[in-house]
Amino acid sequence: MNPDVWLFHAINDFVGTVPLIDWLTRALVNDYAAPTTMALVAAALWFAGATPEERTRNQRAVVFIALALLFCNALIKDLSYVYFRPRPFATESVKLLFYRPSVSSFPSIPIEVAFCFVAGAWYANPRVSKGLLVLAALYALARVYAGVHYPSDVIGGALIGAGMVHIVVRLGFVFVPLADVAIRLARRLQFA
Amino acid sequence: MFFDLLHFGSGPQAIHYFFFCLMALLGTIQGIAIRYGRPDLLWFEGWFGYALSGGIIVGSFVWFFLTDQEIFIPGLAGGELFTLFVIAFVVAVPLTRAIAFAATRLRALALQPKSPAREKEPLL
Repeated sequence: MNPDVWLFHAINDFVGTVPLIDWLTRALVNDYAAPTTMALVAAALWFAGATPEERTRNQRAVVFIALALLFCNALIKDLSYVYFRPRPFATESVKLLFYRPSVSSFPSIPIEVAFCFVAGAWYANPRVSKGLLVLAALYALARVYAGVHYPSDVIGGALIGAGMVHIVVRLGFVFVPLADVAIRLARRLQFA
Repeated sequence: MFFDLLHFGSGPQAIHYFFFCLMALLGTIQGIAIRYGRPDLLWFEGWFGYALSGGIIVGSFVWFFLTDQEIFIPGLAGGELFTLFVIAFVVAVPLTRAIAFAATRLRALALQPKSPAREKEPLL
């Protein structure tokens, strides 16, 4: 058996054995809880910082997260035209805890978004990033446990999200001046 | 053009999500304002401020997840969620600043000493 499918069943077959885990998974797997929590952490980073230098570093990280999200969405939209992977529930016997999404299973878009936040926060505050990493890892596990993704989908999403932030940071000579313009404008308008 | 791509589905869920984000953002900004001593954003200092911040954040999550019945059916997608969060941020920051300004003025008025001239008035 394909190891990806084998691992998927090893995780998903636990559904229904411990009701508390099912309840926690349903609380975490939806489209609102984890992404909104991560966006709130980014909003907190936007205002956080004991010194002007720290604040600027945090605000640049938030702009990098926003840019990486934008580029990831463009990339995945293009990818969806050339590659479509059916969801596990379309081809396997699955214990489903969630609705049936219609977009391609690979890569996992919610996990790609989550890892944009994790990687972006790393450049500003590694401690905050580690907290986000725990949440993102649980979110990824919940997506597989709930039967909406294969393990390779969430791994692919994580790599694309984190990789895109890394590319934005490596292209700092282009994006740092852009981020600084956005930050100056936000400060002038009293939004930072 | 961008807004043409968005589909907000049933209106109530978008409205619920907007108010959820707005309240959670107000709480988050308060927590940061206390932690980093930002008088321009601060409503209340010390433990009461932290309790208020935590209460608003937890309350907004509990309210949204207990009241919204459409969480587990296909609804708002990433673009809509991002747009509503940004709109909530744009509303939350000036609202925070306005409340912080009013709170500062009220505290200043409460601490203002009584006029010494009136204290010297003879009692007749």
